[in-house]
Formats: sequence, C-alpha cells, structure tokens
Amino acid sequence: MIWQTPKKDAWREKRRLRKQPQRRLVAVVMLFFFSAFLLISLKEQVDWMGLLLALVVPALIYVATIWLPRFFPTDQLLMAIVNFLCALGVLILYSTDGGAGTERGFQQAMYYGLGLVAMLVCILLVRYVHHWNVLIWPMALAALALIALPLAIGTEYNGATNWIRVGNTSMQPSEVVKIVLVLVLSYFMSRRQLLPWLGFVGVCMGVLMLQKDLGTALIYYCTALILFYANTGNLALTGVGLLGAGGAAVLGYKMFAHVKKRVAVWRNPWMYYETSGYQIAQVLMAIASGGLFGVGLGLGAPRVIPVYFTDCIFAVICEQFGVVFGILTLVLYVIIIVRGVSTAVAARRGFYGLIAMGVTAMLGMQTFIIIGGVLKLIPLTGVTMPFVSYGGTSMVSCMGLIGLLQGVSSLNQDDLSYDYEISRALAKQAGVQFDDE
Amino acid sequence: MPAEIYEIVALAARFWFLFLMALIVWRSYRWYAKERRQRKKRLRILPDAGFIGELVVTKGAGDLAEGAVLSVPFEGTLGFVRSNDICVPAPNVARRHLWFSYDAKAGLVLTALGHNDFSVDERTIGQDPGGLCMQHGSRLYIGEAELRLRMFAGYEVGMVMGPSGRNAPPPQDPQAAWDAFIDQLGNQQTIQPQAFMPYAPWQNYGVPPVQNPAGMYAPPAYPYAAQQPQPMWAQEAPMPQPQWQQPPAQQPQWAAPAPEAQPQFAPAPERQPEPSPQWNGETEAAVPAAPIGQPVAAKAFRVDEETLQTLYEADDDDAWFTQEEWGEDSAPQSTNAPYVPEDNEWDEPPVFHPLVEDEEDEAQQPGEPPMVQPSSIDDAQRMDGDEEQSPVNIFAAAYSANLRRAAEQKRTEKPVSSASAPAPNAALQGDAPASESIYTVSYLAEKTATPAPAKLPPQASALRPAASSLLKTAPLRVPGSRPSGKPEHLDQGGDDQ
Repeated sequence: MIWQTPKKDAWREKRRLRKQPQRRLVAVVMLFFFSAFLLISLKEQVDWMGLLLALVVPALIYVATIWLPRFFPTDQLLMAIVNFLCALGVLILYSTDGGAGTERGFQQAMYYGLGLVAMLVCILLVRYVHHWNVLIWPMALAALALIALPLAIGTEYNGATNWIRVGNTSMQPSEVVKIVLVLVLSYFMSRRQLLPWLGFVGVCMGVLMLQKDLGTALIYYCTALILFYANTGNLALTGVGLLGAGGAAVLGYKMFAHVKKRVAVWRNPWMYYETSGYQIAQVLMAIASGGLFGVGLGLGAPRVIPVYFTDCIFAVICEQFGVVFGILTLVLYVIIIVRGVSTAVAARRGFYGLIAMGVTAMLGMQTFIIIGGVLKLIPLTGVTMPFVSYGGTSMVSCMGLIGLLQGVSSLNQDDLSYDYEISRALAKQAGVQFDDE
Repeated sequence: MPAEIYEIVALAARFWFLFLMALIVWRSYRWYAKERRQRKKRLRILPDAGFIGELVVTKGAGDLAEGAVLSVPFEGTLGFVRSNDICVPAPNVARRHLWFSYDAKAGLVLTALGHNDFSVDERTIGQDPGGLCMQHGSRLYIGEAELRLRMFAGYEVGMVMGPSGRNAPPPQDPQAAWDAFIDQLGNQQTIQPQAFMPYAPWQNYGVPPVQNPAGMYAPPAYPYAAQQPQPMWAQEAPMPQPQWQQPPAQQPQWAAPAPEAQPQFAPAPERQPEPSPQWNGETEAAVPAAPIGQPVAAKAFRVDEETLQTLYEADDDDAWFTQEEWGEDSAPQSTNAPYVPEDNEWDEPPVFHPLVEDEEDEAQQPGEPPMVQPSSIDDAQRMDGDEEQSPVNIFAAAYSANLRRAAEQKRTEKPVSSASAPAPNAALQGDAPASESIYTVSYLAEKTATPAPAKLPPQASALRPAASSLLKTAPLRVPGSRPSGKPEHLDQGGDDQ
C-alpha cells in the first residue's frame, strides 16, 4: 500500500492546479469559443475552416494565457480578458462572413497573432529599456512624422484623411502613434517638462484636426488631460482643460459643417434615415431586435449595418448574443480599466505609473467613445472597439498598449516580490517565523 | 445542417453562451478580487514596501519634531506642504523644495526645484547643480531642519541590481550570501583592497565618498554583491581618496604578517575634538522615552555590553582595534582632510592572503599562524577573540546574536522595558554619554505599550535597518567629520519655486 501516497499527492497536485483561477477561467473561455466555432461551422454545410478555428482559437488562448506567462512576465488576468475579447472579434467577424465570401474572420485571427507579438515587444520594451532619455526624442519625432504622413500621401475614408496605402495593404498611422503618445507624454510629464509635453500634444491634435479625425483627436486630448491630472493633481488646470475642450467643441460645431451634421444625426437619426442617419438607425434597430438574449449566433442581419465590422461591431454582438451579453462585455472592459488603474497606483516610479494610467485612459476613452456612439449617448465617431473591431492596425495598437500595461504590472510584481524576499530572508536569518501565510 | 435546425440550435445555444459569458465575468471578477486580497495581505506584512528608507529628523524646527521618521519612496518631491511625498514642515523650506530619486548606484539623488538651497553632508546644491547624492547615514540640511537617511536592507548603494530587481536573480539567503562571500575570499589568491571598496558614485556625481570607515573591509552589500566581480572602475578610475587612515599599529588578522606587505597610509592628522556622536543606526532622540510605569515592547536589536566586551576585548593584542586606539589614533578622518600621499605609498601593492586554510600558503609562509575560515556568522561568532577579529565578523556576530535574543524575547512574550534594556558598551563609549554610543546597532521600530506577540509580528521588514546597520559593519558617524549644527549657508533658507 506504499504506492498510494505518491498517487494521492499527485492527485492533490492536479486538483490544486485545476483550482487555479487562471485555469478555471481559461477553461471556460476555451469552451466558449470551441462551442461557438463548432456551431458556426455547422451552419449550412460542414465548414472545415470553422472547425479548424474551433481548435486553433482555444489553443491560441491557452498558449497566450497559460504558457506565455511562463516565459514572459505578464498579468494573466489581463491576458485572459484581452484574449477573450480578441477571440470574440474573430468569432463575430467569422459568423458574419458566412456566405458573404469575405475572409475578415480569418484575417482577424492573423491580426490577433500579430497583436500578440506586438504585446510581447512592448512588454520587453518596458521591462528592459532604461535609457528612455535616449529613445524618447527620436520616438517623438518619428511619431510626428508618421501621423502627418496622411496629409501628404493619405487617402480619405469615411470623411477622414487618416489612411495611407502601402502596396495592397492600408494602415492608420494615428493608431500606431497611440503607443508612442503614451510613452512620450508619460516621460515628459514624469520629468515635469511641460513645454515638450504641450508641444507634442498640440502638434498631434493639430494634425488630427487637419485630417478631420475627430474621434482619435478626442481620445488623444482626453488621455493627455487625464495624464496631466494624474501627475499634478491640479484640479483647477484640469478644469481649464476641460473647459477648453468644451470651447473647442462649440467652436468646431460653429465652424465645420460636418460636425453640425453629425450632431443633428445624433439628436434625431430618424429624420435623416435615408442619408446620414442610416447607420445609427440600423445600429439601434439591430440592438433592439437582439433583445435581452439575442437572435442567435450567425443569425440576424448584421450586414445591413454600415461598417458593421469596425465601428458598429458592438451592435452586432448585441444583436446576436443579446443586450445582457453586451453588458457583460462592458463589464470585462471595466475590469481591464480597474486593473489598469490599480497597476498605475502600485507603480513605484512616476514614469511607469503614468504609462499605466495613459494606457488605461486611452483604452477606456476609446471604449466609451465607440460604445457611447453606438448606444447614441454621444455622437458616433469613427473609432474602433478595442480588441474586437476588425483591423490590423487597431489590433496591433491595442495589443501594444496592453503590452505596456503588462510590462508595468510585471515590474510592480517584481518590486513587491523583491521586498518580500528580502524581508523573508532577514527573518530567516534572525531565526524567527515570517508571517507570510 | 438545415437552416431550421440550425436556427433552433442557435436559439438554444444563446443561453449556453450567455451562461458561459456570465461565468467568465464572474471568474474574472473573483480572480481580480482574490489577487487584490493577496496583495493587501502582502502589503500588511510589508508595511515598508515601496520605500527605500527613512529620513530621521535629527534636528527639528517648526512643526517638524525631532526624532520624527519620514518614509522615503523611490522618487518624489520634498517640501513644506503635505502634498509632497515627504513633508518637511520646517522654516525656510519651500512648498516644493527638491526632487529626489533613488538610483541603485548613486543612492538618493536630490535636485533642487527652482533656486532652493539645501546641503548634503559637506556639499551644497550650489556646488553640484546636477544633484547631490545621499547614502546610508548622509545628512540633509534643509531650511532649519537636519535629517539623516537610513536606507533599508536591499537598497544599499552599489548593488549589482537595480532597485526593482528587474534583471536580478531571486534574492539569496543572507547566510548563503555570507558564505558565498567567504568562499569568494578564499578563492582569490591575492585580494586587491579596491575590490572591497564600495561603488564610487562621486566619480559621476561629484560627491564625497561614503563616510564609512569600514567600507574598505565591509562585506559585499547584501545580498547580491557576493556575485559581483571586482568592479572595473577600481582599475580604471584614478586613485581614490582613502576614506580613513589605518594606524600603523593595527593589522587586520587576515593580512600578511610581514610589515612590508601592509598598506602604508598617510599618518593620521591631528585629531579634531570629537563632537558628540549621534548616529549609530538610530538617532537617540528617536528612541522613545518609556512611559513611566509602563513597559515598552520595543523591537530593539542592540549590541549589549556583554556581547561587545566578549567580541572586542577578548584579546587586546590580537584585536583589530581597541576603543582607545580607535578614539585616539585610528579614528577615521574627515573626508575634508587633505590627503597627502607619501612618496612610496602606492609603489608596492598590498598583498592580502586568503582566509582559507591552505597548506601551500602555510608552506610558503611558515611563520604565519594558521588561519581558519569562518563558514558562517555563527562560526565567526565562535571564533571571536581567536583568529578573526575583523569588524565584519564582530558586527555580524553581534547582530546575529541580538536578533536571536530579540526573537527569543518575542517568543517568550516578555516585553523589554526601557529601563531593563541592555545599555551600550560603556567601555567603548569613552567619554561620550551613554545615549550617544556609536557602537550600538539598534533599531526601535515601534513604540507600543502592549506586550509583544508570540512570534515576530507582520512588520518583519522592520528588521531592515538593523540589517543595513550590520552590513555597514561599523559606526557611520565619523568623529570629527562634521561639526554639529546647521551650515551657515543655509541660514538664508530656500526660495519658494
């Protein structure tokens, strides 16, 4: 009967591993996407690509959430949630592709893998780059050049000249500049260099206004303002900044015709249903038709919504899975934001704290702007829903931002572990018990 | 699958997906809440987490009470108002007076905000506009206040790793680090004295060297420096100023017995009148007075009289130094004292012998007494008075003994009253009052009238200053290094930015 003891220990070890929160969460996520892709693949006739995705996407989630943290220090909770949202985007795009001859779902899966690489690069950037004073100015100048590039060679898309085409692919430079913006603003703000900070924000905002990319400009401005308040705590100047934003909005409303039009559509989309109000009207009808529990995966008519795959993908989620599912999706975003704020507060260096706060502010503002626009809380502007919307640039940008957050989080964990080990070693040397458990 | 059947399955599956989504959100929240609880629990154990040390007010002014302790984070502002990371409500301190930032190699780097004035030890910010560096034991003169920095263990200057330990291996056991250090000594056939010098931040920052008279013989900074090879700067840098002059009469036990092999230092200048030493790892003013009639449970780790007498006075002939020698001739000199090297001082490099018991070495030097390598602090303690009397072993043994004694007191739930607390070694104090002993390795973390718990309380990190004092191994207060009182140049106070 001696053999029972190691077997019992192994069984207990397995049970302990199964009870780890990351494994329990990832198991549910994998089950969700396996069953969803399996259902989609059996919609009309057996879709082998769907079956492949039913295996590949859960495997990718497992690798990214369980395996990668063994080699790269990451926040597993953030990783699990972000992976779920990315895979949800792949699922929605693949389900709406059925019979339409598009491959957005498959392309989004590839962008998801590319985003994982960008995230790892940003993690390493935060962890192992210490001489930011050398890097920050070239990065800032390159970002300014990149964001101004569409003014010279850009193409207009949905009223904004913020795309550039390279060969058969197109990209949106303002999405990539988001990562640099957070780094540059955090650096200058942590060193209280207000003039370079203001200059960088001002140039970026001016270029975006020239490109008529109002949604991105709003995200940039709010991020800069939140960073300013987080670093200085100066409520008066922050209020002045908010008033300035309000004044600029009123001025833009008076000066630009398309702003007036957008506000009018926001106030009453049904009056402009045939023209400019068609999109928001379809969005509202899709959400309403979904009801609380949705019309079912792969059903409904999401393709009648203009740009359903980027700006209005939240409406597709609500239509197919229901409003309750949509609310739960928002809860996941809230958890990301709360986690980001916790990371920022726990950072021991101002620079890293500002990075975490900047990333959180940027992702939070982007989520609020697009979902608020879809729900008709604010005028609809053309920004993507983080991690879910179709688009390689957006996916890489959002995953890069999460990589910055992951890097700061891992540094915080290192710092705390270091203090813990020091104290435990001292207590051990002193021959006393360390109250660690 | 037919469209009708698929529709039925999809309609049924939406509840399944909703259930899974709710489960995902719930488990994410539970995970978040669990980690938050764990983090709070760990922070309760480590109340000093996020701080690199403390600033002890050695001279209060205004609302700043003498003896107050101000925690020092990694970086931030120091000024008069409470919105600063360190609030110093003393006269002539600006609202935001200076910016400080911890650097693993230089220490706490202070830079002025605006035209505010302050001084660290011997230097003013006017002399070094780029910033002044504070290290363990450095004094900060700001406004009418005087503060002294006490760094926690793990954040000593000159460590291999950075403060956040990003590229560092996991921390070692101190005992293992000590053993590794001893092994390192044993493996080196010839030990260059520069290898034991601390990192030289003054080369980059223009600050005076560390006022640590035992720096030359100090063990590596806990716990990583045992892995540190001999620093390159020791070979490339110009000849450093000696921190102190070793008296000719004193010979380390592990040094070569031949007199010609000993390093020849410049003769000690005439001794300055010794001011009252105040710093011994703990400002005496910070030690709370025991309430009359009430015992004080103090986490005090003191080198009591018995231990010090055992360690220091075991053998006067073989002792590394004695109190009289220390007080008169071998007192570390001020860093301001001009260094005048002798002509042949550095012609012949000093040769040090390893601490290991080596037959070949014995064969080569038959007249040398056999040396025994201490493999641990306990060994060093057992060997006190015999072969090893270096200050490293002395203070390591004293530290270990007192930590265990304090822990034993905690276990037995016998609060230490201030009246019964062991007094510093009177024989080592000379004429200094008992409250100003420079040999006391003490730390008083909490002032409470409640009995001590059975085991070490969660504030185990309160041990850090004691360990830090241990690893510095010797009193940081250098007699005659600086007159007490505020420098005249600070009388003008600071300008508000």
